[in-house]
Amino acid sequence: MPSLRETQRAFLGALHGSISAIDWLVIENGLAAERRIAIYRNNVREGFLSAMRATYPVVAQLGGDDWFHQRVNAYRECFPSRSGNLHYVGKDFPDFLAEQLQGSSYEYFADVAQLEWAYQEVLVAVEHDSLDVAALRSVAPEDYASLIFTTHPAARVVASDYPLLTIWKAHQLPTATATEPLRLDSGPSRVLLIRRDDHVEMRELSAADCALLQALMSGATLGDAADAALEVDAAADFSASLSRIVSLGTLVAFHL
Amino acid sequence: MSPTTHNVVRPRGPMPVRAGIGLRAQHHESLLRERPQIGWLEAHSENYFADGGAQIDYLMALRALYPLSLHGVGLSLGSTDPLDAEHLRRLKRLMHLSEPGFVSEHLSWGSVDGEWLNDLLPMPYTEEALVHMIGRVGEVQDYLGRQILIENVSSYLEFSASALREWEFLAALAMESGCGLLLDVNNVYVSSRNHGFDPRVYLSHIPSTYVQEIHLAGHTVKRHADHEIVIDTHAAPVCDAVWDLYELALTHVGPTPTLIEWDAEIPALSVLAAEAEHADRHMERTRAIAA
Repeated sequence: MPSLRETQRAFLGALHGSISAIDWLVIENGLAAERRIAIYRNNVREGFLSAMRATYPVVAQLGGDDWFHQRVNAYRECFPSRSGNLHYVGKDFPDFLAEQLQGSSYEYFADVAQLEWAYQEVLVAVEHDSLDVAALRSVAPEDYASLIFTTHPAARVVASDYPLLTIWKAHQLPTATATEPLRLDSGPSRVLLIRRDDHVEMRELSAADCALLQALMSGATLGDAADAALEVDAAADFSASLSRIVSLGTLVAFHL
Repeated sequence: MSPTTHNVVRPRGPMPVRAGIGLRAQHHESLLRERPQIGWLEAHSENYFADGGAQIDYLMALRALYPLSLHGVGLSLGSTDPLDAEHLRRLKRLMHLSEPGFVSEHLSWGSVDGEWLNDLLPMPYTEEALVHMIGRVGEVQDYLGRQILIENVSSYLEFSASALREWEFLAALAMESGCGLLLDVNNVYVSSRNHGFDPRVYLSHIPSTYVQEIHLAGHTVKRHADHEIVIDTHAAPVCDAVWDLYELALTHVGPTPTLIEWDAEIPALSVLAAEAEHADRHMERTRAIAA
């Protein structure tokens, strides 16, 4: 008699089609083992697909149903679920698409996927108190450059060579309306996603604001982050950039 | 144990002996706005595993209005892989936050060698599997510090190694681990059609003392040229045959908190509330007969 573990491994193998027959394991009772396994195979595929569709509705619309199903099935082979919570299964999809679509005219789908994954992360991230601005003001000016900030757990930045936010907004159902065709060459975008009062706010950042925030998110000191901002835009007004990202609520704590 | 000797009303802790409905995100707003007269809500635990955000806020707002049960689908209790510590940690956190009347999971497995299928896969009903499940349920109950309920699942295949009937397995599991049972009447019906057993025999053999909750749901019949198979889709109203079996289950286990599950092609809240009302009327009838 097979052990429980052998049974479960054989079931998984049959589901993947890597074991040709498990009729020795199953009571066929009028319906072949393979057809019984096929019911589970279908349930598993559909469950994964519907979780991915919920996470990546815009990518699904962009590519169309058939394309999306194919991509998701290929993705599942490389990145099977590693948890009992289907909400996590889409984590590697943006990178998977980036690799698959590199150099094609659809490579922007990967950036849209990155935006949609960031959206999911922001939706479920932990709450955090807002920045103690009075305490920040009390920091001695000579210490400014060495300040290190904690950024909001429910904030992400996604930068792309494509007009991501415009694409995303044009595919929001049911209010999406067919306006003029999207121009993919209308310039890069840098999207801030931040949750406020249980709602995800998305807005474009300037190149300098984005560079500053991304540097702070990666743990850089304020001095190094300022250099990063000036590097992308030599004419940037650093203190105006800082004040904007503070007023957007992206910074929640600091230390020296 | 005869089906007629246990038709007594028993107090069952904090959950009202009424019908409740499965909580879906689509209904968060309308539940808060309309506050329908339903007995309680049951949430899929994993849908509220987030660290923060709107879903948790909705759950807590609704928790203030309705008794709550947490129903897990992703613990993979029957798996031979180790239990997922992170999953358990999130479940315990959600449990402390939302103070559910019941915490339940399934008699199933869903992962092996680190790969998760995120489905409720059937167990072979062997002595080895029973010992394994008793250990796993014990591990979870120890970690959570409370009793959990275990639900029978719908299945599309049976293992030739099975030496016990499903109800025998469940009875032994409850007796040995101290867990309660969640009797899913629709799952009994679906499996009975797929495997050709009498669901009435199943129901009359379920040990009534352990049954603390009942599930009712709709299913989908797939007809093929040479056979038909019943799939547990939770995408339809409870069918007449399942209502009849529910009536039988109630005479056997007594009025019991009963959940209407509808997880796909989800209808308006009023449709679910009407199904719950229908279950409530069944329970009232059982009480009247018992009195």
